[in-house]
Amino acid sequence: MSEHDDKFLNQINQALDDASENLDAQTQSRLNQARQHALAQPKQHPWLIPLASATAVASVAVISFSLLSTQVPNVPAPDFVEDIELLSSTEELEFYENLEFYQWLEDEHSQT
Amino acid sequence: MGNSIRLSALDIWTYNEHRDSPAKDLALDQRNLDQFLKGVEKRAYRMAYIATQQQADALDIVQDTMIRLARSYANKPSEQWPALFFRILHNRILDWHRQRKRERSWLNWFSHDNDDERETSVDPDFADHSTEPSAQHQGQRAIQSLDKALHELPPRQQQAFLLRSWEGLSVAETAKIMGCSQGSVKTHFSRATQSLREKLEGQWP
Repeated sequence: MSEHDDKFLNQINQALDDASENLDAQTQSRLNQARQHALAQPKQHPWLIPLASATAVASVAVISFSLLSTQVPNVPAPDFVEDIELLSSTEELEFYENLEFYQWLEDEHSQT
Repeated sequence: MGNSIRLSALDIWTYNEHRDSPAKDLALDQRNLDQFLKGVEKRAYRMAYIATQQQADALDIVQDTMIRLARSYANKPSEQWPALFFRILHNRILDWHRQRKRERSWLNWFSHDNDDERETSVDPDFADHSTEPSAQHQGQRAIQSLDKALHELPPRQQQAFLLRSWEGLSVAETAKIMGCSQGSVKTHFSRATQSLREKLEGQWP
């Protein structure tokens, strides 16, 4: 990055810093309240998260198995293992959910 | 007998220490989390405000982010909090954009004048909707023009720019937060910088 770019970016950063430090009193007060409210929230126990995930995966397995067992033999079985992996991978799910949306965002802004 | 009494007392003392230390750890964690959130809340608000141009929405986004972090990730090592916080913030901002898209779809469905709805992606009454004080000095005008220029960036470019330039995060950290490749971060950042330079040229030295 050129020196010219560095100077430009430093100016922007400084302006953003100044603006955030000089928020009006009402906004600062609301942020303070928001923080206190967040800190007062009950904590989700760490062991609950994998337990919840395991429960979700097990539920999918049970449902998929019951669907499989009632299917007509000629109908190809769904790839429930892949579904379980997809469902248990929240990161990938988020990516798939966002993919179409990111395309929409790009299209919207290319029109403006 | 005497030795066994001393051992028992030691056991009791050790038990009490271990019983109390989780509470002490929790109090320390709470203070650390409070300090972290206090240090990041203003910048988070500014990022959310730049994205939404609505004070109330920006505050909601920041509060939701704080709650999510405190509720689900307070137990994580504190060095992970910044990346987690900005990841949650980024996703909440995207949720806000999704909500706006749904609302706009409904408006377009009912409205006969679809072209006018789509033309203005930026609120035409920019100054009126902002609760920021109206520009009286050159510095304030510069901030307003900067806010407007940042708001007009596509969301991904906006995020990449604010995280890389303002927060000073690395390409790798930014990529993790945005859920994209490092190459994409570099592209978004480069385009954002170019766009800002074109928009702010003449207004900024």
